[in-house]
Amino acid sequence: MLIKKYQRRVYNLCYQFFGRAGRAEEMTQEVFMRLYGSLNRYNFEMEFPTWLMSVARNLCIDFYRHHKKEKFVDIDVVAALPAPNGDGPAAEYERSEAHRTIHEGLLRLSDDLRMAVILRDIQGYSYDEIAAVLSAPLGTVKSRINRGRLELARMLMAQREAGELGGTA
Amino acid sequence: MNCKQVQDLLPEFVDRQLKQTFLAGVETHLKACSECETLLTIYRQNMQLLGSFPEVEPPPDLVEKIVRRTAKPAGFLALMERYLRLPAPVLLPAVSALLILLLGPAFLQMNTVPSRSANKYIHRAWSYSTRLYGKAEGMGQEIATFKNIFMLILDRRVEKVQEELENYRKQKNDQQSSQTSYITCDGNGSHQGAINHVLHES
Repeated sequence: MLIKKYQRRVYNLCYQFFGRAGRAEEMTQEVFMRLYGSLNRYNFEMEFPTWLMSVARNLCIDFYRHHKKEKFVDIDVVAALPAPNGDGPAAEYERSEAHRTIHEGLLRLSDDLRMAVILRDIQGYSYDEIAAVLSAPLGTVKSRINRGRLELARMLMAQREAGELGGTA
Repeated sequence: MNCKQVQDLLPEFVDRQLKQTFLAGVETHLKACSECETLLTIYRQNMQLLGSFPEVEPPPDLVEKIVRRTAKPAGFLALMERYLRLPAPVLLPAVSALLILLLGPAFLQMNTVPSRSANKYIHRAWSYSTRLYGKAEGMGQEIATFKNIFMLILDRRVEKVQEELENYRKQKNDQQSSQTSYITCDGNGSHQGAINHVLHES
């Protein structure tokens, strides 16, 4: 069954994009509803998961642009699936804090850059697949990913410096 | 090379895609500039963190919710249900009643019988609504009654409204009776309940 097979992938993409469990659930439902209503328009030249992701991407971006006034920077901490390596609780906590910080940084990126970085660095899609999902040329995709990564690094560096300054003051 | 130029080239530098002509300049700058070196370290850490981003578990009832939603009728009714958050059996009479409440007094206030064309449009609208909602949740009979009452009011035959309501109640009772006999026969495996019911009716 399509829903069972792909719900986790879509839900995770939505959660990574919005940082809210409730919103991710709502958007996942919308994605499958949209899919259900547009199966007759399925482009057979596209792999099904890629097409599904492009539907999810369009809905997420549309929703984000229509609700820009909402604050998206607070994230819900959702129970993650256990990590394959069994580190101690302290290391586990440190890693989850680092993930939370980077997730918050991601949510401050513009929608296009955020989606490109999520698809490439978290979801692990190839550049060609991302170009198909985003319906954008390869050059644009690479540029968005690079800009997104760089902005994220700058943001976290500034945050770290501000933290250090706050600590010394 | 200045910091801005070097920082803009960092993604290509990390991906080992940087052109040879820039490579030496970037490496020299990174050795001398602590700020750009820190940025590079954070950039690399980020890549590692994003690569190990934890997968989260969707809510256990998510599939069920999606299946339930896809089984519902699409179109106008689904849209109403989604935004008003009311199920179809509540929406249908509510919408019909609202139409009567809004339009009925307006026509009565005009103190004239609606023109033939207005009449035609009302009939057409009702016919459309009946087609749209009629089959949903078995509300066809209710819609038809609403329409008849509405037309009686417009035609200034208010005395007939009572009669129309009586007809509706009678039809509904007949329907329930036939359903009861069917359920009794089928459900209990005994015909006694149905026989009693028929005897009682006769």
